[in-house]
Amino acid sequence: MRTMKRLALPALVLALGLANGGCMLIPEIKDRIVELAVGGSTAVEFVSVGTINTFNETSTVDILDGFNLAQILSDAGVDVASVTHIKISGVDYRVTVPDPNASREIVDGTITTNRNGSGPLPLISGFSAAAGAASDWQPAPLDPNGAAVADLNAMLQSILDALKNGTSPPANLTTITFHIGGQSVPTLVPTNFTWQMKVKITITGTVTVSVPT
Amino acid sequence: MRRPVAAFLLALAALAYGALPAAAQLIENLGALTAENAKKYLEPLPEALSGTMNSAIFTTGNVPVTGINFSIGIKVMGVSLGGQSRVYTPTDPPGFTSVPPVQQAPTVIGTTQAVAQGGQGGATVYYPGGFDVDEFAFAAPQVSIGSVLGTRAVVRWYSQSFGAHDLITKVHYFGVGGQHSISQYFTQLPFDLALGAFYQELKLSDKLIDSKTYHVDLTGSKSYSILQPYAAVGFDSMDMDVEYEDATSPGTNIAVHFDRTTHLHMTAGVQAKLAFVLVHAEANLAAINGLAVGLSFGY
Repeated sequence: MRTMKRLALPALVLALGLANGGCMLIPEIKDRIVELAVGGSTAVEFVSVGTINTFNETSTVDILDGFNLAQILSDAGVDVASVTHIKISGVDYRVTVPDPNASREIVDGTITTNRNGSGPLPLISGFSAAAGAASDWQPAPLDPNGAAVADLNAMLQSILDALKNGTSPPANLTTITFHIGGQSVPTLVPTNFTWQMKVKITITGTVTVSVPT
Repeated sequence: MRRPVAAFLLALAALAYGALPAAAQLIENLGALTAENAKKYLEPLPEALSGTMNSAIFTTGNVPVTGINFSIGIKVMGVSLGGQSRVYTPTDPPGFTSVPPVQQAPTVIGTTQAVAQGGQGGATVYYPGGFDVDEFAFAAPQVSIGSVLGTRAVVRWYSQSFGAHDLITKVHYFGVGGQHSISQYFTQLPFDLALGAFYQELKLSDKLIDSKTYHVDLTGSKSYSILQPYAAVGFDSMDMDVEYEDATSPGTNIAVHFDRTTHLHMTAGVQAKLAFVLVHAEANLAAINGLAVGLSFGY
């Protein structure tokens, strides 16, 4: 009997603790509508070749050729109807085939975009990069004006809207003409390298997740 | 909202099934984060795992010197995440320069809303929402068998494979350790005393989450009829690695290492033995304070 009295207090404390934290040990499975963020990207390849060494190149691409939004959403388990935002998060570049001249550099580079008569709008400016060796993806400096990014955001929204409607956006809304300008040094040696530009995209969408809590 | 009836079955089901959809979405949420931000997003997880996995392993200081003793059962450990960080300040990803106001983003246990951070040049980065979790529970089947020279072995194990197309392809949980009687060397002690050590590893999809914990404690207990109060003091040590695919560079994996952390672990509990049934309840002061209960069958 005395033993039981000695145990009464700690047992009571423990019981109160357990009662107070009942949910802690008996988790409920609750549905949460979680807004997740997923990433995607689309890459465009450019071949820079010539003897003048002042860049003045244009390249026209349909962004949908390398960007499958439906697949990105499917891989992430996000229903297209649940997508809440889609925007540009940045631009990367890399040299895939280096110039024969190991000291090749691009200086004062610019890239503009023109979509359905919207441009040219500055996307990248003040761009300098080594092109004499293959490189991993590196960030490119976005033009502070932001006009090209805003235009590309509008394009992404039109792609999303079309996907939600089960259609494809008109090609003129997804076709972009990139113009590349700048200098290639050393100037007395012909330029010949291949590089890629990757437009990074950030997407949010809601999913219902069962969470034990 | 669904509330199963049986607590133990629910806890086990939560580990095996309920947590998996969340873990699957966790992969997607991580994919958009840099390694540095993924570490901040997951910051509450190692301590939650440490506080639960390292509890309810040894519930007595009584280890017979010889003879056969055996038990099999399930342990359920829970912690409150109230004191853990629910937000973090993201580090700008490479090439992205945030412009004021700089936002705070939810951690894995934080609010479910994603957060948009504006950047220079009109760029935007979204940081994923959390899962709005207040408590974290972990269940573990446990077997103990002894005794040889006052030593018993303890094993925890759970493994489940899923389809190749499932985002979580495998759950692997394993723990092994033992408890050695100290009382046998000090026969005048008024209570039973044993030294225990336990190693555990938890892996999701081989590399998504790979955590390893070590637990060492000194457990004292004394029997009063069917009741046996016990107390323990020791420490837990844990490290965790996370690896996931970079969503913006498919085929490229990002690895995140959480440095090993060590925490004092103190336990107070009561065990009751009714014929072949053992039940116990305990409170733990550890990486995160929590409670644990267990139900075992044996002799």
